[in-house]
Amino acid sequence: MNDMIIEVKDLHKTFIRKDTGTELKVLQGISTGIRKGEKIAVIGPSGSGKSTFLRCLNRMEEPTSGVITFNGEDITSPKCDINLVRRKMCMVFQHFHLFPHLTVRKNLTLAPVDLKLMTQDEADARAHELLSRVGLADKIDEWPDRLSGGQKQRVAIARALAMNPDVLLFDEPTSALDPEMIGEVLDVMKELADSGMTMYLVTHEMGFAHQVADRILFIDKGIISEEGTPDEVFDHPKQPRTIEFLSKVLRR
Amino acid sequence: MKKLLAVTLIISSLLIIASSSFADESPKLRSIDQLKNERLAAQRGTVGQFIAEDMLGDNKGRLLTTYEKYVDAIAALRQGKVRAVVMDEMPAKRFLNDVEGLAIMDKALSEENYAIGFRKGNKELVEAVNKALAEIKADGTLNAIFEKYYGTFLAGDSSTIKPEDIDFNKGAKGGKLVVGTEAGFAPYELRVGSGYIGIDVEMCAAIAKKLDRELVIENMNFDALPMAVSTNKVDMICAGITVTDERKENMDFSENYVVGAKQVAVVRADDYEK
Amino acid sequence: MTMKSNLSHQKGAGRGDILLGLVGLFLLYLLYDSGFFTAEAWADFNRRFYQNFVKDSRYMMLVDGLKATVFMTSGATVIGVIVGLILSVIRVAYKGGVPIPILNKFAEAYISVLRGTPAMVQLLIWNFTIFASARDLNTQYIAILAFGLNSGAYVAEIFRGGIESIDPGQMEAARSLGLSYGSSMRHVILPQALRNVVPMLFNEFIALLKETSIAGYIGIDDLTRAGQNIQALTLEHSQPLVMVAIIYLIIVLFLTHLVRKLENWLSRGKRG
Ligand SMILES: Nc1ncnc2c1ncn2[C@@H]1O[C@H](COP(=O)(O)OP(=O)(O)OP(=O)(O)O)[C@@H](O)[C@H]1O
Ligand SMILES: [Mg+2]
Repeated sequence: MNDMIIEVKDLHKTFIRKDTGTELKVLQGISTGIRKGEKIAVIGPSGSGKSTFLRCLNRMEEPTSGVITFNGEDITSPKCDINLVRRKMCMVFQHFHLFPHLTVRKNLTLAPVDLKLMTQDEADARAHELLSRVGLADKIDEWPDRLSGGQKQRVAIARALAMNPDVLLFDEPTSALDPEMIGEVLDVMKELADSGMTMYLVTHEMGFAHQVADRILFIDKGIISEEGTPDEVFDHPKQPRTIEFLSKVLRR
Repeated sequence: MKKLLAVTLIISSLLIIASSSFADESPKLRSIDQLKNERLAAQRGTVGQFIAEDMLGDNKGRLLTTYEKYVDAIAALRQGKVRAVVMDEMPAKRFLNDVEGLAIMDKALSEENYAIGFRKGNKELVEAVNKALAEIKADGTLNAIFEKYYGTFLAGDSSTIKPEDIDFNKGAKGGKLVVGTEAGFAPYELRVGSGYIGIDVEMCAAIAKKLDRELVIENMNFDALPMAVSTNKVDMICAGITVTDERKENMDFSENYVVGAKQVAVVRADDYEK
Repeated sequence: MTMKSNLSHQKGAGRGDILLGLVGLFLLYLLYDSGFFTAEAWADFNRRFYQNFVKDSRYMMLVDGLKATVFMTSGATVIGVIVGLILSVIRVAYKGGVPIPILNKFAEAYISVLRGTPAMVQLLIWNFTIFASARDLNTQYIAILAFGLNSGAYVAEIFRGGIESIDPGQMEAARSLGLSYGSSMRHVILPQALRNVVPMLFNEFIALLKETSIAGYIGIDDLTRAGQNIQALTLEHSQPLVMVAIIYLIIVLFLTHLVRKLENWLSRGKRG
């Protein structure tokens, strides 16, 4: 259990609509974890709670109940400084969310410099190195609006990497991209995975999940209804819901 | 280029509006009594306003217009918006000197006295000022001031009087004597450049000297003066203020320094037959 | 910028110029008709112009007044932006889950009181009630405070609109990197919000510039009051006021020009 980076115990998340007061139980008892260097793909139908699960991990959403530990520390306790946790558990979003008023360079260096983890010079050097890694070294002084979708997402990945995180959380990183740009982003992620990065990946790219992931979580109606290696889940699914879901997405 | 054109247009239209006046067909004015049913103007908060209100009675809401400044009231008169302006005789005479086509109706509307106003209950300062006032009356200082201004202003040339020649007793040991006034009431007070001249100004300077204090002038709107003195914003107010019973209820006055100042009606010369 | 929009832009301006020219001609005719172009009228105009502005360096009264107006407007602008920024961040932060209910209530009350009462009344209260006994304080500072705090309430609403128009994903992205709420606000949200609200802010300051014309009420010889002082001096009604109006107009046109430049500069890096 010692090489577990994140452990989740009985995680619940209930949204309460402000206007009507009705409750929406999105996560209903999730217990799981991720080892150092492990890549876990999270799949499931739309609205099943995948994003919410990911966002609870860095407390972008406040869990309703349950315990999440990160490197052994209970991050759901009030004593935990969540900002320190987030430095080491960075997120890549479906819609990139680059900072449009800052150049690519500043997008990468803002957080490390502001948090005094690096000087501006160190951060600049690191930014150059990371941009080379994602194939965009020549765009370092470009404005985000002048990049294509695929380029933006690669910059967003570099921005997360600039924090030297222990874990990366990807929430459908290719869903907002034109088909011809998906490949370039998946290539970067593949390279990351091969380099030993610990990754949670919510995706609809089943082929990529099969290829890269060590483990697949199938989330349905707020619980992990099936879990296993890609071979187990994709090729020999046991639950009828999994079979139904896979038959739908794979047919497309 | 386009902007320049636009600016020129706006200026010229303003000039057109300014130069157009209203034709007036009604018979000419002969006596003061006729004014009871005419449109009148006065400066806001002055005794002229109260007299006009009395004259118009129930019609004052319809017929009386009050302005922030005398210049505005006179402009309204010249443009035919009102038939007469009720104001103090001295400033009225100055208007007659400098502005063409005005006349003062023969009979005065009333006579009153000017005094300096204080916050109600400020006995100490009232007494000190009264003492100083008596002294400058006795030694002829006050009279000299009156003569200097009557001579120059009514002769139509005030540019010989320079604000920098008036001694404000700068750096006096007794602290500041802050006087509120409305410096658009020649010959009593007038802003010239970045300084002030006028009978009231020079009189206050003489009083300040007697009190060993430095004179500081605060130039405000006339109707803000009572508020300024009652909230201690200024020590006293001196702006050709007429002593009335009503005002006495809300502030204290010094001894009079002008007795028998007249309130007159200023009209257009071509609208007046003696 | 495409060829097409360039062309249509020019065409629109051309039509406007013609219209302006026609109106101008008509006004010139009216001036001619009213006898403005006769020799005597010109001589009279020039004599009055000399009296109002040239004699005894009276234009200096306008210059000094302009200085006071500019001083008050700039001072109030600085206070307005600072106060507005603080108030809007309080309100947005409270809405975003930062537990500051008392501050938020205060900000709400501040905004509704200062926006719900006339600036003139506020100015009088500041001068004659709150600072009644502060006589050694330059009245212009009181005016700056009054106008600045008043403007802050309006600026707060402008900023709030600007902040709320920023995609919430921006805040999430900043926070997900470990930046604090304050840092995210400062480095990510506010710069973008500011860029969005620059035109509205400038309009607010142009309004403020004009609003300072009531400062004469508390005894400040601002530009408007300087015109009135010249009026009282020369007993001339129209020229001083028209001159004052022209000066205000020139400043406002200049500021409007400036804001265009600024907008262009701010939108660098945006696709265009
Ligand atoms: N902030 C919120 N407030 C209220 N309801 C929410 C909120 N966020 C998510 N939900 C609801 O929670 C449910 C799960 O949402 P979530 O985004 O986790 O689904 P998902 O599995 O990521 O779906 P998708 O594949 O479409 O992204 C949905 O019904 C959604 O409407
Ligand atoms: Mg989702």
